[in-house]
Amino acid sequence: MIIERILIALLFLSGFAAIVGMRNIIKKIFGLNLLNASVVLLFILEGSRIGNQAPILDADITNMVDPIPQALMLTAIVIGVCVSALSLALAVRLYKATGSLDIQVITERLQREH
Amino acid sequence: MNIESLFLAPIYLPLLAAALLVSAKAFGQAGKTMDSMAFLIGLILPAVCLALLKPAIIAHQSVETVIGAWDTNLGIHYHFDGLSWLLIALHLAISIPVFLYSKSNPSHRESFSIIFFIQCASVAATSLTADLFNLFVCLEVMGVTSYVLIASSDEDGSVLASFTYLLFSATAMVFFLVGAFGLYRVTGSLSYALISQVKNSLTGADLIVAQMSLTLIVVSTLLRCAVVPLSGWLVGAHSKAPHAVSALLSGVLIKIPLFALIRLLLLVTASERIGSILAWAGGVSAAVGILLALREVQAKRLLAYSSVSQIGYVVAAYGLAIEVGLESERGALLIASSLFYAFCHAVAKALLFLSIGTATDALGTKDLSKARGATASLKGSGERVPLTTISYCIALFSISALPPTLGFWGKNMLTYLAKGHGSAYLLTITSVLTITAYLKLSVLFLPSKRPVVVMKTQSYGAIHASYLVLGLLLLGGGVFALPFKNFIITLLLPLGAVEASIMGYSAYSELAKTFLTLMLALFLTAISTNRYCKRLLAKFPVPKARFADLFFGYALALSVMAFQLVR
Repeated sequence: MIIERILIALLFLSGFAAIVGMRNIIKKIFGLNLLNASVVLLFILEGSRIGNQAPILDADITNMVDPIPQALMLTAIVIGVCVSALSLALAVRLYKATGSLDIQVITERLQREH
Repeated sequence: MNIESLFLAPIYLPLLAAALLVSAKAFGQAGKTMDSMAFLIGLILPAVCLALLKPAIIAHQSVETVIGAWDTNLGIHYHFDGLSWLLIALHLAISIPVFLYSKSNPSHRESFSIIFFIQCASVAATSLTADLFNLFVCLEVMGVTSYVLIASSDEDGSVLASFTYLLFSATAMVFFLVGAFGLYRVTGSLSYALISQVKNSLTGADLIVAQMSLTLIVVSTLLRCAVVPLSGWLVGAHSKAPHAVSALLSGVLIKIPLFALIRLLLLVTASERIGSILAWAGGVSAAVGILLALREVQAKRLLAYSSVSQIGYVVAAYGLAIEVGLESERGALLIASSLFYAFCHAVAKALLFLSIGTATDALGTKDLSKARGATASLKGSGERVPLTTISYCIALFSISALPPTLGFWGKNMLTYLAKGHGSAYLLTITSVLTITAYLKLSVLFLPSKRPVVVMKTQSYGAIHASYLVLGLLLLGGGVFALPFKNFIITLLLPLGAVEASIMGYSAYSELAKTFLTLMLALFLTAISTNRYCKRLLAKFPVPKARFADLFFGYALALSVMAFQLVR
């Protein structure tokens, strides 16, 4: 259990580092996706503490996982997809407007035009 | 009228309007008629529903329900009471005139209306929810619609502002989710009611996990309210958005998450510590926001900085109310005055954004050092009655807290009640500086010697209608301020507040104080044109909305909050 947690924490940190540190906006969006994925994994791991079978009610299922985190994460994944799609659309518009994907170059070019 | 059958209408009806527009667009039937019909369904009908619900709310009825009739441990809890009613009413009071205004924009499209109505539904849902995960979903929907609306502007840089806001806010919402995970882990539930049942039995490591989770949730939600040091995203986003969207975002959307959070804060044990931080954060926001506004030379950016400053008043009163507790008379009055001021600022700021937006469009520039003679330019572009100038003056009076407007009552009651706390001094200084900053903005309307430039001619019917609604709210609210204030106090009783009324408050001494503030502000305006003063202001560092800076602010807020909770 502890190894999984460390791996999830590493995934989380690498996503966060990409968002703050990377200059390429596509890589920033990748970072956001990594961040989302790590939280989804954390919830799923937590739900599996009490069982290991899918939460589909059947006669012979005894030790199923906690269904609530799974239901929540379905929603979180959907929201994550929406946010990624929107941010990629914005990235395309930024690229069309300035001809660059580097956040510093984009900022400079927009300010110069202003 | 049956309260159970109506209280979800403010969520369903705007969604229905959005669905109507989507299908109209898909079948090629979209047009002015469909847009007006969606306006009736999505904004006017919810207002009618609220009016029908008013008697039940005054009688302190409230509904606690689980959506979809699920088991209480599984389903999503919604709670409808006076607070939700007030928040939805506040949103409708701004969104109806804003929608009217946006129709005058030639680039008004169905896609704008669709997103606008989805946002209306998300605001209503945020005010009603009593479930942590549902709060996350509502905030995300509110956020996604805001990003789209900001990016819908034709102005350069709006997409970058929207992208910055998106990335910052989406990352913070992941931290919110981690916080929700922590609370779920130690309490086994996500609904506020069930969390509060187990809160007292937490000890040791579980308690620390719960406090850290609460920190993450509170700070991530406060990011949407743009409290300093979390406000770096606001200025770009709100100044680059279309005028109507700026009015809505700056007026309403930065306040709804704050008041939605109160349901959770009232339940947790360490709420008075969070309250004391918020009281200080509010005072600091007010002062920092107005200092940055003073040195700004671009009209809409000045208004956006002023929003950071004004939300400071709301947050300071809100924090103090939580610190002293709603059971005490002072706490009950403070939370009521916080909501009251939120209303004053929402209406005034919406009117300011709309009138300044129209004026700068007519002038063709937003630069305060160059732009003069807005009234003449507006006349040239087809405005027969100078309602833009008049509306600007009314909004200016309200935001500067001058009688006879709503803002006079709102700001004076708030600073009167906050007296005794350190941040009250910051708020008083801010009141003076606010007038100075807005006098600086008023140069737009000074007569110009240069010939009038006409950018374009347009009809002002819908624009004037929106001005009238907002202007009358400010003036009418000024006349009926005391009954309105008592109405808010009554509606907040179900939150656990006590029945209270303001004692020892005299409007005459407030008038004298207002006069003094005004004189001081005029004096400051006179000396602020001095070059030494300009140099001094130029020394004040201007925060850049770089990602590293934004996250530094976020980390700072997290560590202060965590330290205060755990110590």
